Amino acid sequence: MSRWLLLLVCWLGGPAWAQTDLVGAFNRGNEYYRQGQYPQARDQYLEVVAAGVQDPRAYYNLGNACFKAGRLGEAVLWYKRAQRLAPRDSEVRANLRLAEALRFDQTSPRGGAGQWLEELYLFPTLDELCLAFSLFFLAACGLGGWRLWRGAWAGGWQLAALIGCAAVAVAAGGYLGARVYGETRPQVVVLAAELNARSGPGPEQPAVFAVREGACLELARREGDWVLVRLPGGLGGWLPAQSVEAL
Amino acid sequence: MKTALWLGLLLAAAAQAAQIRFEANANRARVGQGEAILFTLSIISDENLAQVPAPELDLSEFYVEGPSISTRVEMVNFRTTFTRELSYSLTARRAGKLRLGPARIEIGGQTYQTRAIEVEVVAGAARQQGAPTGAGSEGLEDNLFVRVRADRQKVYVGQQVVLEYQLCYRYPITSVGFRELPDYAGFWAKELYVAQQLSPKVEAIGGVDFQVAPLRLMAIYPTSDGLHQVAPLAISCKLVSQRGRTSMWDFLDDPFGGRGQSVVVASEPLRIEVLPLPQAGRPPQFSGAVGRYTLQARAQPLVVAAGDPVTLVVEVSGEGNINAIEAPSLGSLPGFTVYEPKSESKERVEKTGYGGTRRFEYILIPQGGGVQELPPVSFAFFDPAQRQYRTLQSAPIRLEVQGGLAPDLAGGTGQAALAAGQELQPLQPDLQAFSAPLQLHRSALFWGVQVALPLAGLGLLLHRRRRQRREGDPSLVRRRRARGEAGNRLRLAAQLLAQGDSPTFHAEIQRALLALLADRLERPAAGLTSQVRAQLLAERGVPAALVAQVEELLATCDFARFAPAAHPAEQMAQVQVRAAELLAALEQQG
Repeated sequence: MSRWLLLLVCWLGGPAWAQTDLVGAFNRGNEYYRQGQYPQARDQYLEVVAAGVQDPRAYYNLGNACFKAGRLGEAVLWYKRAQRLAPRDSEVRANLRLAEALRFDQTSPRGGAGQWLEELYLFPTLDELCLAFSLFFLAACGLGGWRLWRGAWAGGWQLAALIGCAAVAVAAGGYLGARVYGETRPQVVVLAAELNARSGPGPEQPAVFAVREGACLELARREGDWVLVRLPGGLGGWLPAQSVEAL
Repeated sequence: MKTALWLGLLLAAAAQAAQIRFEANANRARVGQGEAILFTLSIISDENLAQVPAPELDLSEFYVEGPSISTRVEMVNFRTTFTRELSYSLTARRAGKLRLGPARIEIGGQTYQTRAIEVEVVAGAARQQGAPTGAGSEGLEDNLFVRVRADRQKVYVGQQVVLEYQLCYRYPITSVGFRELPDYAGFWAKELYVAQQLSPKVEAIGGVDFQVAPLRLMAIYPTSDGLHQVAPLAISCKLVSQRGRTSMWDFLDDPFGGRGQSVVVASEPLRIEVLPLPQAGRPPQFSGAVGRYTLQARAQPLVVAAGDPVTLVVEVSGEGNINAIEAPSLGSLPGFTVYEPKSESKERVEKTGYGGTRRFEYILIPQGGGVQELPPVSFAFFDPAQRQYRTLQSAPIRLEVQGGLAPDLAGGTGQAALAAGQELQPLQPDLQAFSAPLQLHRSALFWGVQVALPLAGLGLLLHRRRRQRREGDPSLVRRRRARGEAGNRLRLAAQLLAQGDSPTFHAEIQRALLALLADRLERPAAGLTSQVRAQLLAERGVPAALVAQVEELLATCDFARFAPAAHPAEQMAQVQVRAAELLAALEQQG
């Protein structure tokens, strides 16, 4: 009996102890960071995220430690991951913009309406979109079911509410689909300082173009230790897989 | 694997059966250096050998062309001979007595070997038949050679040496091509010029006019001190045969007339003495650059907000191996965050030498406000012309750094405005626990609920509608009741059959049939006489045969109720089966 009790306690308490340990690593990382020991801080945060923690605050602090340690590419990577989880976080957005401004390969910066629209597009989280879709979809189903149950409309308001809920559900579903597609589209961030993208998967292949640390590229294919990436214009080139990290 | 084994065995058997000879021949025993020797290996067999491996042969003392392979079949006195010939065109790399072979070949597990042939290669040998006439009595190499000249042969480590290769000839020649290029071991090499076609000029060499055509220009930089040797550069060409002509210059009238003789000529090895860089006076900033350079440094913009990026461009230009120039150190720059510089080279390749500009781009971010000064950038190199180190310094650069935060980021346009005021935002504070997003879009439970709830509602509606339909139709209700009653009576009859109670069994069968008929015909069972049943069933379209079977069974039951001895158990079972079949048939008639 006591053995089963002990197993139950371990099963219930194990995750909590592991969580406490990871929180300790996170807080130690913060301490290292405050002391200016950025590589050590990075190691602590990496321990946290390697354990599967998906907290945007851990990603954000890891991005800061990488930035301070001179790892611009990694900083861009972790800020982008943090932004996916917390798209409205102004600090994540500001630091990502700073890191992108410092990288060698600049994309044309958005300003004014373009930037406002981008922020608006990223405003809701995926969970919020899921809940909105679910709420209006089930409401539309409920109103339709009520009509069928009763055999007649309760009033004009019921039809209007049904059409409204269905329209919002369709819009939320489309918006959710577009966001999920955009965020699950395979992308990589360049971590190496500077390297040539080649016309084939091998170091002996001719160079096609050069990419530098922090560049975010579309991932088209993997082949052994090489990945095929594409520039925004569609131009493709092969990079060593260890020099990039999937977003 | 098995196939290969069988093939090997077959080949071995063929070789054992065949008579094979392996012979070597050279067309000349004495040649001038640069002249070609035709060396032929012959494999002679009385059977056609399907596969012949390449022979083992050391030809490292020669420039080799070929082999060209030919096969010949001869038949003499009804005996067939197959000859496979491998022909090499060989040109000696040096003068002296050289050996050709022995060559070895293994066929069918047996090794065959040729004799070694000795060839004497002489400098200044007499011209061979077919060579151009009118060039005097000297040998081929006196009239056709590759000359290499270095602008200097005693240099410092890293100092540029320009090598010029020229083809000097007095014979008409065609089909000139590089045969062997030196690897410049011990040097970093850069090609400055390579001839696409011969552009000769007349030059007197040793009192004799030669056509001198530049072939190649190279800039080489020794990477270590000591005595280095540049390997020869060899070219191949064809001498144009001038039969019947009285002057070698007749080829100008018909430069491609006659047959050509292939020759290979090479430059002499070139020795270069490399001195180490002096230790005395070596500045601490020196990182290995040798040559003659200038330095420029500039920053942009000069007026910035704190946190704005400033680009510092340092350019080192001049003559020398610019790829070996390392980024000048900026030293400690308090008040600035300095990022690793990006570098790029802009080469300048001329016939006089190699050089260009090496550009370094530093990103600096001033952390505080006020007027700040970027200290001079230093660059040290060794000037071999002056045999001393030199240190260049740029002028200091003044930056005006404006404090305070930058304008609104969202409203900015352009990179400077984008980066303005973007200090790194602070850390997230210490935590008590982590939070994680639900990631509903990846949750099967979430999507399952979205599908299951509407489906459940739909199912409920359908169920309700079906129930209502059933309750609103009296005939449907009666039918269901009649079917239930008939079923119950059949089950009871089965029990009576087991007990052997024939009268009651047949009575229940009869009741089951009559109950179903009464319900179907919507008449009380008491009033359903045989005639009435037959008439009503016929009106409802029930087949007469089925009606007759029903009537027959009813009559059987009626009779059995009162004469049980005439109905044993087997017959009762048949009656039960028959009753079940008729009930089902009546059900189907509706």
